[in-house]
Amino acid sequence: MDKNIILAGKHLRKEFHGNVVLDDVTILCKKGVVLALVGENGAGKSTLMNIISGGLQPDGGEIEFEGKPVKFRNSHHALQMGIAFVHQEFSLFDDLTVGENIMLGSEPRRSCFTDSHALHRQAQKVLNELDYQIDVGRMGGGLTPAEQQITEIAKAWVTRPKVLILDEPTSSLSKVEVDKLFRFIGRVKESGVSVVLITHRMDEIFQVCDETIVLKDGVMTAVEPVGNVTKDDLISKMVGREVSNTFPQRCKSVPKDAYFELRNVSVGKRVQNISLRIPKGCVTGFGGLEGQGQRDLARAIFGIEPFTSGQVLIGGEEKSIRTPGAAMKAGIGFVPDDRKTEGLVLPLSIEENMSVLVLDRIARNGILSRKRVRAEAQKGVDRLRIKLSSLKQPVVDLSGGNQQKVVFSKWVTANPEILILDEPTRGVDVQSKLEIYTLIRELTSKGVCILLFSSDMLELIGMSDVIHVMYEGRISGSINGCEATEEALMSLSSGVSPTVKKEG
Amino acid sequence: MLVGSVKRQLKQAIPAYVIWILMIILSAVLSPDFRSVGNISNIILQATPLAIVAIGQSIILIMGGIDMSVGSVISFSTVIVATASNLVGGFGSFAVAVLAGLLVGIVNGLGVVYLKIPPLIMTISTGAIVKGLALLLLPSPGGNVSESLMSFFTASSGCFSVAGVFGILLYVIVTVFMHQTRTGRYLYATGGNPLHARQSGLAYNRLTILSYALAGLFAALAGIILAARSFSGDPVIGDTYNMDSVAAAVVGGISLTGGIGSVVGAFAGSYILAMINNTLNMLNVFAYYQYIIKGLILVLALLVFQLKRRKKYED
Repeated sequence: MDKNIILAGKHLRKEFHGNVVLDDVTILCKKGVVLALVGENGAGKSTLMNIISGGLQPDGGEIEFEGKPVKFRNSHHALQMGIAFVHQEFSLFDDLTVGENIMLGSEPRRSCFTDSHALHRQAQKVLNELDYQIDVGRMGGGLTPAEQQITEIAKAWVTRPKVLILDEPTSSLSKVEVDKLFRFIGRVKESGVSVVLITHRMDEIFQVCDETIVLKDGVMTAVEPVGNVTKDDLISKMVGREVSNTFPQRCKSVPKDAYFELRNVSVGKRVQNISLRIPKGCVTGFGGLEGQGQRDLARAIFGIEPFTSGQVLIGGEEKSIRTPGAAMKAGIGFVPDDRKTEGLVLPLSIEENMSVLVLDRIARNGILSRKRVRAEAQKGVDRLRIKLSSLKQPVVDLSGGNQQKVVFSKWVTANPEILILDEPTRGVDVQSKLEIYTLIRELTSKGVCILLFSSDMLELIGMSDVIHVMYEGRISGSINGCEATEEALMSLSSGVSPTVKKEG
Repeated sequence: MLVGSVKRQLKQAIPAYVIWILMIILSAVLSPDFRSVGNISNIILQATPLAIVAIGQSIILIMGGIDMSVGSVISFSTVIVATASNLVGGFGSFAVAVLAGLLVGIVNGLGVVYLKIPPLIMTISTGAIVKGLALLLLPSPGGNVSESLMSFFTASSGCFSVAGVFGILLYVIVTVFMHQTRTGRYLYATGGNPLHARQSGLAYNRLTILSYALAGLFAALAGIILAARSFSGDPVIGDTYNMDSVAAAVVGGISLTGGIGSVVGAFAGSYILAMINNTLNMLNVFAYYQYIIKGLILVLALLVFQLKRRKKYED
């Protein structure tokens, strides 16, 4: 047994609802070694980290801590054993100070009272170790994303972990801050801690990491010391899935006249000065790593959190879209990424969900006719072949794929000119995916403008006529759908300078 | 000196104290009756039960819940004091009432945590049950409160009765508990963001049950003082305290969405409400107008704090 191995996950396997998301993955966290974990969105990185830090239970395989097998009850248990996981999403408290946030759970006490002076002094010391200046008396709610990230790392480091897992810690940091963080990681490593770094930025791997693990679709495709690999090796091991024939033929002629136009639109700092001209009858894809502003862009177009500056033109006319209601009046539809909370009213029946957007049309003098509601819903069910036992069935009982079809058909009955799709096939089975793709093609052939936001690169490549890749709130490059490759998208996504020809 | 988030929480209470002091000055100038020792001790006596039940309500609101059973617990507690005195003596009935309050609180907490019943529904339901029990034990006001219990709580020197001092003492203890202990900090964190609290490994279930138990406890104490003051039990006397305790907390700067405010504010809030009642009584305003006025005050307070907070997060 290698004495340097602090934490080992062996032959780990995890399934969600029958989908295997992790299969026979082995990860070894060694003393004083920085391990890079890379892979596409949805490759299973977070799942793997959650398993070795107690957040999820594996369905197969075992975890060993310092040579002995363990079963973590929850992430708190793992933290007590010395495994700290800094998640990508922050979990700070707005109404506690930076110091109180950092020391949460390990507050110093004098008899049974907390000692606020000592608490803030100790928190300051931890921040000093990180070589980062934040006033420990400031409130958590007023921090910038970079400060939140550093506070989260300090909160993890204060527990003096033996294994420190950082999930994309640099995505909100500036260059100088990243350098500071890497020097900190260097010092941490010297003191014998094992660090796992999840990152999408290739340069960082070569800057601080000693070993890499590459995941692709839940399977390990490479475990190598960093010295043995190049950037291109890594990218080719992350991607390389076959573009199968699941995608229906794209239409031949793409019209060039812009129907929907964005001029210099921004949403705070999350979306910055994006200008796009989108023609009718084609699929415009938006890709990139998670959290680069795609979601904000999609939601701003639909008026959920409107643009803070810039103009939106539809059919050459400027529109002010400040609410989803205004967006719908302007002919925009939106299939949200979280169908359970935003797309459907789960306890209501299929027919009620499907007709909810067209009640005005169905109603006569303000009174709904059951018959017409049913007829409208039946049309949708037939078009998308939704499997159901009755139109009166509550949608909560349907499978993920069928639920998504209900959301789709709800919007299709409303006849939008522009349809925004945010992760339309997340958690959807293969057969339903295919049917949704076919429907998208049908809509474009009728002249509907589709905006497809997806983290699935194959879906973007297979469906889109043009793909815009977003990076840090801007469009880092655009690729024609026919010419796009996963490698090209990946390089644009990870901020590597675009080597592909820019479109238009 | 105060360090950390406590400063900010205490700041929420400042408007309530400003209003309270202005009210005192205004009443003192306008009405000579107000300044009399008799009236001031009367106000303290009136405000004390509300102030005590508002402690529990404040803890719950800060933790992110709400308790609509405190009114019934107060009534039940007066009924216990008025019926059990003969069997177990004055201070025995005190203990029984406290235990009953704790029990109702724990049931509320268990229902919210394990049965996942929304706090509003859970506490309204237990409130109805407890009210039924109170009416069963003592269908109409009366009963027999122990003489010793009454003379203990109503003993006074100048403006201050034992009950009033007892109320202030409870406030001191709970203020220290909420702002200077780990558990207090975790209650704030839980109310501020329940999801993050769970993710940070805080004992969410235990904290929730604890806060409902405390609300039950303080409601029972309020009931005991009410019984001692009126020297009788009354199965419906607590009904108005559900809304009044929430109003006192909100006027005192505690957020209905949790995580913000301090019990220190609820103290001023209770006295503001009690003084409004007192003034309206002195002016012979009908009881139903009093309801309307209290309702308007609550809406106004909510509006003011809500607008202030919305501005804060938009910046």
